[in-house]
Amino acid sequence: MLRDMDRSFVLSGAGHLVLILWVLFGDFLFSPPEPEEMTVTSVSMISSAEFDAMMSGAAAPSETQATEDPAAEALPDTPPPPRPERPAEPVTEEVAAAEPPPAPDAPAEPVAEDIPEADIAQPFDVPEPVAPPAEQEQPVAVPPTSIQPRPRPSTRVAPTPQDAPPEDVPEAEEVQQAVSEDAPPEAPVVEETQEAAAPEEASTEIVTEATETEEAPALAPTASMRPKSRPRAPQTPVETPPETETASAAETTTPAEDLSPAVDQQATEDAVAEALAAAAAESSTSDAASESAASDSPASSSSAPSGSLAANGPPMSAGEKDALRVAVERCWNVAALSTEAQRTTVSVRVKLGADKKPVATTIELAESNGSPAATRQAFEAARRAILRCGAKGFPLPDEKFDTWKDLKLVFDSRGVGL
Amino acid sequence: MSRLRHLLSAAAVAVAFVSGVGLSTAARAELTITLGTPVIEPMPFALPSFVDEGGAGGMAGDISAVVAADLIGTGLFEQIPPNAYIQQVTSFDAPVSYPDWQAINAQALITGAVQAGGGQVAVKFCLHDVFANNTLGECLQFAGDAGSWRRVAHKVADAVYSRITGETGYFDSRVVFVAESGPKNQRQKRLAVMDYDGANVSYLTDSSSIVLAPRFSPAGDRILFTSYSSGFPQIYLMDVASLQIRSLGEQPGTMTFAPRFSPDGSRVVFSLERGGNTDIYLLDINSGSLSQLTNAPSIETAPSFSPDGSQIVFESDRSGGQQIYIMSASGGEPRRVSGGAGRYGTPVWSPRGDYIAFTKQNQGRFHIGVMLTDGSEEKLLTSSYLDEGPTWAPNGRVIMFTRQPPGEGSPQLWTVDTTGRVLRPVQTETAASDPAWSPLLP
Repeated sequence: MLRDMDRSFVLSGAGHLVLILWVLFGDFLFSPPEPEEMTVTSVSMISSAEFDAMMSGAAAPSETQATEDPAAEALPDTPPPPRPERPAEPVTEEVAAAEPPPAPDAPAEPVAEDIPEADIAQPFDVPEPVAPPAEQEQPVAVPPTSIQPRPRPSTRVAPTPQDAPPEDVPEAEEVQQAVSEDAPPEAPVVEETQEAAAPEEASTEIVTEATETEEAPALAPTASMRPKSRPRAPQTPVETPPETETASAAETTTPAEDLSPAVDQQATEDAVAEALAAAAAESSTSDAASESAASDSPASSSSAPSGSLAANGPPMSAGEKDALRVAVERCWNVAALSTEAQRTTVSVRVKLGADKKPVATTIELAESNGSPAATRQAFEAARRAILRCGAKGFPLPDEKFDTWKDLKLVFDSRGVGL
Repeated sequence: MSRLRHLLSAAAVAVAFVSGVGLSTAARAELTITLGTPVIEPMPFALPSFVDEGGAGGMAGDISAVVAADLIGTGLFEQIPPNAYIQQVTSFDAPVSYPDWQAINAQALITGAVQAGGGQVAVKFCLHDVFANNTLGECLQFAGDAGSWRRVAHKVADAVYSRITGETGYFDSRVVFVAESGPKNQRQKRLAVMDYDGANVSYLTDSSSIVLAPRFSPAGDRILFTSYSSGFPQIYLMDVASLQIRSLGEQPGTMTFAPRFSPDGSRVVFSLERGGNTDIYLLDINSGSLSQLTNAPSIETAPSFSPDGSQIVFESDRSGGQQIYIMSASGGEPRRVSGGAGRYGTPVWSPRGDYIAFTKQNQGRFHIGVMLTDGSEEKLLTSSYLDEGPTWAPNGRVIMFTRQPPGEGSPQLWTVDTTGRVLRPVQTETAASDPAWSPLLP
């Protein structure tokens, strides 16, 4: 009996001991949900870092200027009636002084407020086709703004956190399979973690919508878009520089392919004929592409001239073009011009240095539709605008120097004046 | 042989390829941006006091002040205060430090020097495009009698204005008007002439009779006006140099008024009232021949020639209210060009031929306005208790008119540009009305 008692006692003691040990250390071994959350939070940290890295690029400040400039220019437009003695200088100076501060402080907020109205759709669409040839698209922080609308409704309507989890499960699987293709699936994944982690935070987010707009663009674009453009960009320029100069890839490959078989004997004449035909077709297509790009009007400017410009460097986004346009228009004063000169459209070519300042000696008249006298007045006003507002450098992205170093500015003031 | 073929073919391929690349490179190299929203604001300019190079004394500063006032008065320019100047111009030949003027945002710089002696004054000046680091055109020099230093200053301002705007100036011009004095019920009116800015007033007639509607001849050497010296309205012609006066188109039992010269100065178109009916007539000054241009039971008056002399614009109430019509200079069926609400009167053809200025009365307000010669693009430039009698500046960009305030106020001359943005009173010694701008002085 005693042996049986001892056995049972030992067994029970061992069982209790195991139970105690399980109770003490079991939680550490079986607490799966917490580490998952930690990983999820780390994802959000990565996205913010990438966002900061993007903001370190030159694209964001230029956009802030572009958005502020129109507002600043709206001021001089309204005052003209009372104009008596309001100097233009203070206005321009104030504008110039107002531009710097917003850039360092909170670049995302002003951009998010102004840009969505007109530039949301176009700048986002532009980078995608251009992504292959581009060198580094990351600094073009414009795309994030386009994705903003998507997260907004979900987070703001967030009062129903239960709806989000079911979406996340299938989307997480897609992300693993698709690696980097789809941007939308990744954004909702992040939303899950936020909702599950802190329902209380939802209230703080709702309070300030501006902060939501900041987070949304940071989350959405960071993951998928940037990696795509990077690997593709180096491939095209490295292999065939001449090909990159022409927009049509198919046509450029044919002459390149023909050069190698040119070593063959009998195919030489055919190769020559094909090459001549291809070169002729190539030049015609490139001219057509350049003409289409040259006819870039303010209304259609947002439709990024991806063709010919992509060859020189990354294309200018609509926001960057607007920033440049507004920067010049701010100094383009036609009040003192004759009515004929005001109705004259002049095209002016100018080269910009790496410091983004115009080279005065390169400013030349390209085209005009007015009389010689009117053309002279209109050209001089245009030249003054370029030199005045370019004295401190235009708001242009550094990495796109090859794109904007040669400018053709079309000054069309028809509709202004009597 | 085959090797040669290879070389030739390869060369052909290379040439074709390079040519294609070259064409495409040249065509694609630039980024095109279209600008369509310029600013409309006065152009800042700097005008250091002209340098006295001998004998000018205070005249150098006075001339500088007149030049600045002329430019500022257009509303197109704005002077940067002299105390903001970084570079002090003490010599006309000293090199211009453009960065110093760029720093204060001066878009144009005017430097000059004045030399006086022997009753003569000479002014030389240069206009600089500050941001282009160069002069705009060549430096010029004007000279004249010391007593006419204001004209010299106006000449300088005209040259600057013309060089920057591309329009001819209007500063060196005169205005004939009716100077009014005395109480409203016993107003005395005299013909007077002044500089366009109200300076140098001189009176041409005494106040013994009422005078109205003076008009300069195209050469500026004669003046047409209407006088009641005979007891009823009658048009007269005055020689400005001798101040001699003679009547024109005098016919017994008629009243003549609202005269205006033809562009060549050889004919006068005016209104003649006979038997209660008013029509428009044309008088050849030299031969005295008179021809009737309109024949209607309504009142036709205020005729004005087109700059080419082929047409005449006038006002008529043949439609029941005062409206503006245009007819051939030889007469014939007129066509109505005004079509808006209200009454239109005193049309004046712009010296440039593009616009017609008019007085409009609508809903108890008077307006000075302009419209294209086909009546389109009507634009009202002013609105007041009583605005009337527009006259064009020689360059067709500014209009002077009479503004009469309500009550016991006296009429005053005002100017407005064709955009309506720059509206300013003209400073005159007395009350003034019925202005008529002269051509640019020679």
